[in-house]
Amino acid sequence: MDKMNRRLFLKGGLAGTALGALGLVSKNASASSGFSGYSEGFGVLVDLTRCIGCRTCEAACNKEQQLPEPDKPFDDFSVFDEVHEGGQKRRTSEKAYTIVNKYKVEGHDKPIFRKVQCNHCNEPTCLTSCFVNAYTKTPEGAVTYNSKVCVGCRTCMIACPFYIPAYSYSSVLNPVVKKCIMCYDTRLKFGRPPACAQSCPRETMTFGKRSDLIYQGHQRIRLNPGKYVDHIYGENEVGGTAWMYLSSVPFEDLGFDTTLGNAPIINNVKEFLAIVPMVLTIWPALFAGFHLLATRKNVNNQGHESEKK
Amino acid sequence: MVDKKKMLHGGGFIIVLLVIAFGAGYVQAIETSEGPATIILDSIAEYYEPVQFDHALHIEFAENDCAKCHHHTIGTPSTGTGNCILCHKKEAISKIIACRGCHLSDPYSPEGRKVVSERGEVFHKDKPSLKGAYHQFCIACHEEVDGPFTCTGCHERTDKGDAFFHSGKHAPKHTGTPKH
Repeated sequence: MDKMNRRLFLKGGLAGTALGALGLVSKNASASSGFSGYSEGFGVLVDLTRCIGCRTCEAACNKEQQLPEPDKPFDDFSVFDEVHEGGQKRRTSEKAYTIVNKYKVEGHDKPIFRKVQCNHCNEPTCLTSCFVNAYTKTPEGAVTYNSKVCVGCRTCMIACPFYIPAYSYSSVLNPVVKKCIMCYDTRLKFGRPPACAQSCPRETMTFGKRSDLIYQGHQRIRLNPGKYVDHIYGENEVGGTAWMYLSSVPFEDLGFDTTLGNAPIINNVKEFLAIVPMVLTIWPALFAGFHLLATRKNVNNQGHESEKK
Repeated sequence: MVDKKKMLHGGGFIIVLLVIAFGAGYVQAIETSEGPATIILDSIAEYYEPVQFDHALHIEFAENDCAKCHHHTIGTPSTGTGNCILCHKKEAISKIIACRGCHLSDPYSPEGRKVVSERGEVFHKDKPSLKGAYHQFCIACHEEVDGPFTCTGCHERTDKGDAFFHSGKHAPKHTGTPKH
C-alpha cells in the first residue's frame, strides 16, 4: 500500500514538473517569436550596386572608433587580394570593425564589393548566448557590448551567424571582444548615422528608421526593374537585422549565408533553455522532498525497532 | 595632362580665395549662354580640394544635350533616374538648374535630417544628397567613357584627407606585422 502511494505521488510530481515546463515554454515562445525589432529602431540599407570599393568607410570607422593604426593605408587596394586562413577573404578584427571585400562574379565584367560589419540583429545571437549579459540591443537598434562584465568566454564569436565579433588577442592583460556598435556612443544615440554611412561618397549606405528602409529598399527594386535581385538581405534573415543589403547578383555569390532561415537562432534552443532553470531550481527541492518522504518510514521503523528492543 | 591640371589647380586656388573673399560658394567664371564654363564644387570639401569642374568641356562631351546631366530641368527629361519633371513640369521648382538646388549638401545636419525625415512622397524619399548625387552620377558616366575613375582623379586630397586615409606622410610606419 505504501509503495503504491509513493509511485503515484512520484508520477504526479513528474507530471506536474513537465506541465510547468510546457507552460513556461509556450509562454516564452509566444512572447518572443513576434518580436521584429524596436519599432523606432534605426537601420542602414547597403546598396551594393553603388559600392566601388574606395574604403572610405573603413577609414571613417577607424577614425570614429579611435582604432589602432591599420597595417596598410586605406587607399591601398591590395587588401582586396589578401587571402587568409582557409582561403578566406578579410574579416572584421579588433583593428577594423568594418571591411570591404571584392568579389568577381561570373557574367559580370566589373568586380562587386561587399561591405561587412555587425548587422545588428533584432534578436542577436551574441546577446542570447552571453551568460553575463554583456550585450544590449538598444531601442535605437544598435547591439552594444559592455567589456566590463565580459569574462572572455568568446561564446558570442561562435554564436554569431555572420562571424562578426573579434577578440583582442593582442592584449595580454585585458583582452576583450571587439565589434561594431553602430557608433552608438558618439552618434546613433543622438539620432545621427554611423560614421561609415555618412562618409560614403556614393551613398551606398542609406541611414534611417528600419521600417522606412524596408519600404525604400522595395521601392528601389520596383523602380529599377532588372537592376536588383528581388530580395533585401536582412529584412527577415535570422529574425531581421538592422543592417540590410540590396544586390544586383545573387547574395550567395557575394559570400552571404543564404541558408540561415528567417527564425531567430535563439528559437532553436529556446525550448531546451526554458527547462534549464526549472531543473536547477525546482528539481533539487522536489527530489529532496521525495527523499525525505521515502526515508521517513525507515526513520519511524527504526524508532519502533528501538522501542521494541 | 598633368601640367594642365597643375595650371588649373593654381588658377583654382586664386578663384577659391576670391570665393572666400566674396562669401559665395559658387563661381561662374565665364558666363556663356550654355551656363558657366567652370564650376567649383566646394560645398562639401574637407578631405579633398574643391573640384575644378570644367563645365564647358562636359557640354562638349554631352554634345550639347544638357538633359544628360541636368536630368529633370533642361531639355528632354531622361527616363532613368530623373523623373521629377513628370510631376513638376509647371512648377517653379522645375526652373532650378544647379545640382545643389535640389540635392542637399548636408543631409546629416539637424536641419538636413529634418528635411529628409519629412519627405513622405514616394519619389522624394530616396533622393540622394549632393555628395551622393555627384558620385553616383559622375562615376557611372566616367566608368562608361573611361574618364578619371579614382578619387584623386577628380579632386586632390588634402593633408587632412591623407591623415584620414593613413596615407602619404601619414602612412603606417610599421610594416610586415603578422596578421591573424
